[in-house]
Amino acid sequence: MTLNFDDKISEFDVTLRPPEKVMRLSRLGSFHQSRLSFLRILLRRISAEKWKFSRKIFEIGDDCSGTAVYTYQLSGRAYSLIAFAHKISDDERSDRVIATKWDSTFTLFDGIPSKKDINRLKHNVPNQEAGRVSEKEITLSRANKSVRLWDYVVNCLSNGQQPDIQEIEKVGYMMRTTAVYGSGKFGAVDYTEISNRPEFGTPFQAEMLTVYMIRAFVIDLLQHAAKVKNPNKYVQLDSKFCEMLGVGNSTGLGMAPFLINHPQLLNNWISAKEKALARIRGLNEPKKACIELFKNYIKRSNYLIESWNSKHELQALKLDGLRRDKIILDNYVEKFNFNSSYPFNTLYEWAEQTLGEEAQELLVSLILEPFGELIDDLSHGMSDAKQFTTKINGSMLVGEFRKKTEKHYAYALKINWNNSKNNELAWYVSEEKLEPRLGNRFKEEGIEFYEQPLQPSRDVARMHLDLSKWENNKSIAEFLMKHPEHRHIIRRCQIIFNNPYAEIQDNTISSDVIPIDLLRAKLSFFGAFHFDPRSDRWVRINMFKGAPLPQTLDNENCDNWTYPEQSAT
Amino acid sequence: MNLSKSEFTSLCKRSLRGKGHHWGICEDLSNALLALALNGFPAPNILLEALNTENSKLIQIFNIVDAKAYETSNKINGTFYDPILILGLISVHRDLKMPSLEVSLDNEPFILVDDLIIGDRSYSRKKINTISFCTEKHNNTIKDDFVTRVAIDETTLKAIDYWSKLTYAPSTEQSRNLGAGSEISDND
Repeated sequence: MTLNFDDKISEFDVTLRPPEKVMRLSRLGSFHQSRLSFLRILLRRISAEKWKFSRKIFEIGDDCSGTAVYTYQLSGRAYSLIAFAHKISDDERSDRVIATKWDSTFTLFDGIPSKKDINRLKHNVPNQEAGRVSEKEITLSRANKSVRLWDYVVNCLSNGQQPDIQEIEKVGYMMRTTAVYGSGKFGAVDYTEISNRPEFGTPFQAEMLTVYMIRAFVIDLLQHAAKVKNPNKYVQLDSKFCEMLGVGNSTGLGMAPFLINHPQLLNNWISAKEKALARIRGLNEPKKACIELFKNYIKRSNYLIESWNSKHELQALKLDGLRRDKIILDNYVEKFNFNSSYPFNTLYEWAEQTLGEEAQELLVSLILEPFGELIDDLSHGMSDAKQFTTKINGSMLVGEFRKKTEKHYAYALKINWNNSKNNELAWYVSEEKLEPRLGNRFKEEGIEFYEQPLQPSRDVARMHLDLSKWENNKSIAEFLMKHPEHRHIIRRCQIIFNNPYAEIQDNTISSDVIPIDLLRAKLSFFGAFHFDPRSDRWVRINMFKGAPLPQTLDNENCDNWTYPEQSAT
Repeated sequence: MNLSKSEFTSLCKRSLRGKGHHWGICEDLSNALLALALNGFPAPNILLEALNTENSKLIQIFNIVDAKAYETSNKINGTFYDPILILGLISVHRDLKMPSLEVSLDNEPFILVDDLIIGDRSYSRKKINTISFCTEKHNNTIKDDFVTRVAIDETTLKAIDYWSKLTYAPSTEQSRNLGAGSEISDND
């Protein structure tokens, strides 16, 4: 639903939530998707610009292997998903990076591919990391079936029946991607080459487009499988079931270093969300229609929470807390006086005092939902054109640098780094298909040698110790000439000094760190929900579940799907 | 073979790390190498030369340039702190026994005057003994976005990759089963 928003941002000064509150891992690991999530931004653009979707090729055989091409045509450009379906045995199916075969493999092609292009890609895309794509390709991806649900739904459709809604809900997707590579990986075009296109101005738009088109392919492949199985009796999957199906994603540690390695980008994402929240908290008299819509979303969100299942102990506990808190929140909202001044500020402050982080962050997402016209412009600032190239300011004086370090890294300087528990883990990359891994440096012999620079807290503490021996009027350039080992962390600190949300304010190598908190933070910005950890470093999620299909996507439904209507009953 | 910019940067960073350089130096040198590559210089060969240069010698060159940069840093807001020069020096086989570089500052805003201008940075393909700054824009400025790929031959890639591989932990059963936090097989 679109609202005409004519409220002015009031003079009331709602300060942004401080980084020391927002950037803790437990809170980042409680983030939910919002209207500033990347897939939401993509769907709004596709519908606003009226991109045209078509299936160009569907050459899938009776054994359900073959090639398909789907194209989105927009003004002056086209993007095509080239999909390759494969037949693999169950024992070959793995979500790990070390896998070498997948049920389907994909690439997002810049334009409409020729037969020659498809033939070239046919020899490379199915090999994924072992293959090679070109500047004409933007992403590289693959997906595996949810075998149980796939076989069940194919059997139902081939017998002329629709599947049981409960069975669909239990899994929520027919296939899950296990990687969506972009930005120059394996020969694809660099992000910097396409970032000036308006449609890619927001981060991860090409990756989100890839997944959205994969969803369309998966539904077609599913129906094809049913048709092949029983050509005389099969039926198409009901459109309501098609929309209920998202695309799963299985994600491991590879995603975690990204947030640490891209501090400026992380800052821009979090800043956008925090500014959005502050804008709404600063409204003295929000429009009645927005308030009504908010109350509606509060009710509708229950369905999303009820259908969110996880057997993992960590998430199960969080879900229990969320469900308890949601009842408290619902009751409070029911009686809340929205005619009071700055109602959303009052509501948020109450939540912060009363609810757990999962529910607080759900409330934040719900508060943002009705105020698109006030906050959607913030998505324009979520990219970072200068990433990777920040140069060190060598002229900064040691005194100033030390003072700022002590302010921004107070939490890191308090940690006792001589306690082995605080220094237990090491991030490294295995020679086995370059899979990112996390190990115990005291138990796994030799891994410390391969440690990646993903522990800013410890490195800052080490740098600070050396820096404390230097006079205030010396320059950082002089310091680095004597201590080149601190060059990376000095650069990082200078980025953090100007970007308050750029640093995760926790120890990323502590024995009690929960890596999936990092994964969830990133995935929430993608727009994922139904986080279902398989361990403390591996999570499955769902994307686009409930979203309109490309054929029906329009301005009316492009945003109004994340909290399904049926929950309001 | 043509590498994307991100692949080349990653290759630089990993191989230099494999050679034993500190992370921050790997980052700076990688960005500098990419800038050279995008402006038509044989960056993969320069990288290989850097990898074949003793680490202590590379640090020594760093210090020469950094020291000179520091001398003028109060006049140029410290922004001239740039390893691209070091790579230039390596690529022309500068003899470290020679006297220190002479750095002079004309006035701000500055650019380096020589054969190559990359934004506000430059170095010469020729032997460098003097670095100077001036305000005049050079006519043959090359835009960073002109070249989008980095050509590298198989032999050079293999030689560089030798160093990259030193950054990867050997595969063990323990690492395979526990390091990623997921089972090997997934059939739900």
